[in-house]
Amino acid sequence: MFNLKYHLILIIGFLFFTSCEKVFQAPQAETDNLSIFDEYVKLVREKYAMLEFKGVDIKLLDDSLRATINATTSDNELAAKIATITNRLRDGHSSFFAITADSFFFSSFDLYEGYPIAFDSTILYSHYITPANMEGLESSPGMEDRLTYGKLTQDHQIGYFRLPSFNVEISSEELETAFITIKDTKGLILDVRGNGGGDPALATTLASYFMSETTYTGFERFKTGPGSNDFTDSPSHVEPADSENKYTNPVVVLTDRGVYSATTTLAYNLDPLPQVTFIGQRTGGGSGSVADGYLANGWQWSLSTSEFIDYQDRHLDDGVDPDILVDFNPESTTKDEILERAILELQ
Amino acid sequence: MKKSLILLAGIVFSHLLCSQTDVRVTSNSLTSLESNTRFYLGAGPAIASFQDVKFSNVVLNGTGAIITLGRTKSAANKYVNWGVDVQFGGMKPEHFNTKATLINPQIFYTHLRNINDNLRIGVRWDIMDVYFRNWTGLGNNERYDLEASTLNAAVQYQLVLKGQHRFHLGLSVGLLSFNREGTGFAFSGPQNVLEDGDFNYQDEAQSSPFGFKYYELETLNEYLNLRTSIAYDLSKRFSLKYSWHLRHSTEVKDYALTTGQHTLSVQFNLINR
Repeated sequence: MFNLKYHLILIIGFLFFTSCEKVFQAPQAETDNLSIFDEYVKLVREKYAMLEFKGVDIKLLDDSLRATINATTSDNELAAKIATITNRLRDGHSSFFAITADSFFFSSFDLYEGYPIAFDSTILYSHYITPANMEGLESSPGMEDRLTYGKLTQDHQIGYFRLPSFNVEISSEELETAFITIKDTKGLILDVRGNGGGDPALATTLASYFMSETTYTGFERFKTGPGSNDFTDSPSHVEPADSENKYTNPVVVLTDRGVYSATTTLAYNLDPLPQVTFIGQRTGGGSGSVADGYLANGWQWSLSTSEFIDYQDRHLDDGVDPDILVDFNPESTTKDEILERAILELQ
Repeated sequence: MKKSLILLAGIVFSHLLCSQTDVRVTSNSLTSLESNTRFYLGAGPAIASFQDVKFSNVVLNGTGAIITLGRTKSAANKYVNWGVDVQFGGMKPEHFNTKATLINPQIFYTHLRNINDNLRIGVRWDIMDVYFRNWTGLGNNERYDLEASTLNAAVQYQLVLKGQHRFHLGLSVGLLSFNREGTGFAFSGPQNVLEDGDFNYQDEAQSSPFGFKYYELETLNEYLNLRTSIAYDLSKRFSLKYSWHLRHSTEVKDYALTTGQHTLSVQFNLINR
């Protein structure tokens, strides 16, 4: 009996002191050249949500590039080959960043490539909006990243609301104050040119201030599993803001190629509203949600893992044209043609 | 650090093995030995590991500390323990230099009944186990969070060696867990919300660790919550406790989350009567 108990102690003791999570873990990721390449390809194949929409044949890329990689491939060469895949996605949300012994790589899509400039903050802040008629302008006009709102000097019946970034925290009290200020105008210019995104929840909250009823705006298609067809759609029904200061008069949204990510969220939420018109240049897109992480050797990646398809069944990731296309004259130092066209639309 | 813990354990057991001829396993009754109330405060070193295969096979490992506060009460036929543990620390991957931080507060309640002189069985309720990991340098996936309220089957076995060395061996296995993992297969949102097509930017509960309406009820084959522990009474005032806590979630098949936490704490009994 004594021996039995004694051995029981040993067994239990052994179990206690060797208990280890390693039994449950997957094998550690390897860091040789092919393993790193394979890890990235697997991420793109399993997580990237728009291979079909972007026309990317990941198997073909994998086969052609993998064959050129071996143990003697340098870090720079390997990073360049991985970046080739990232570039083929043509997606501003999908990037690849690598630091090697003697170089670094940052690969992402240049949204503005091939598109004209459609915004000049100097003209805007010198000739259209000033601290005298706008709230939110600081002492260094043009440097604001928060919201600016007020009534235009050119026409006091037209409100102006500019938000250069959604990567800010704006309280509900602040939003309420802004909408109280512009409430009595006959029309509003919502200027989001150059707004590259940030928090899509804030963008949705802003959109809800322009709605009087729950509005179907499309659906977000999420990658929810590793298979090529593992997608799930989440329909987007945006509820109006719980506010007495919602704005339901005509709205003109100013767009350019810099309208991206969360600002595309704002745009697709406003698009179904009959009182909203888009004026300017084609948007940048970036409709999807983003995931990011590190490869086993520390190189960094980000990928779009969803895409948004709007209420008209349009894929938005490459951007969409506005209702009224207006060219911006980059030679001018005093005139913002897009803003002028918006004023005309609302007068 | 882990090696040190194992070494320490080895030393304790080697000591017992070397004095094999002197070892006596008594069968003192739990009641006679443990009819008391303790209020304790403890602290000690911890080691942790983290792997979320949904995003990478890279394992984060690191060290930290645990602070624990609790109360135990042993009566004629039952044992009750409630307390709060907070573990925190840093972790990093093996092959590159970034830092991740971990904070894991837990509130628990254990109720066991005496089966015989040395064995107690019952339940441990991890009322709230909140696991936060923050991995520096990332954007959308910088934060990982897992919140769980888990009902565990629990066993405690008491050994008294040589009439005076008292060990408490504990084991608990989660049977039913009400939990939420903040990250899905490819997005920083709960997988069940995404799979159900319910994602909504206007619903703050979806991104809140305490958005209980999006918690899921899972059994141990989906969410394994396993703990082992061994405690040794150094004196009336002090106890030494080693414990291991494993979480293994397979919300996305073949893409498991695994966390492991080892702690060694010295507990000071503020009250022991």
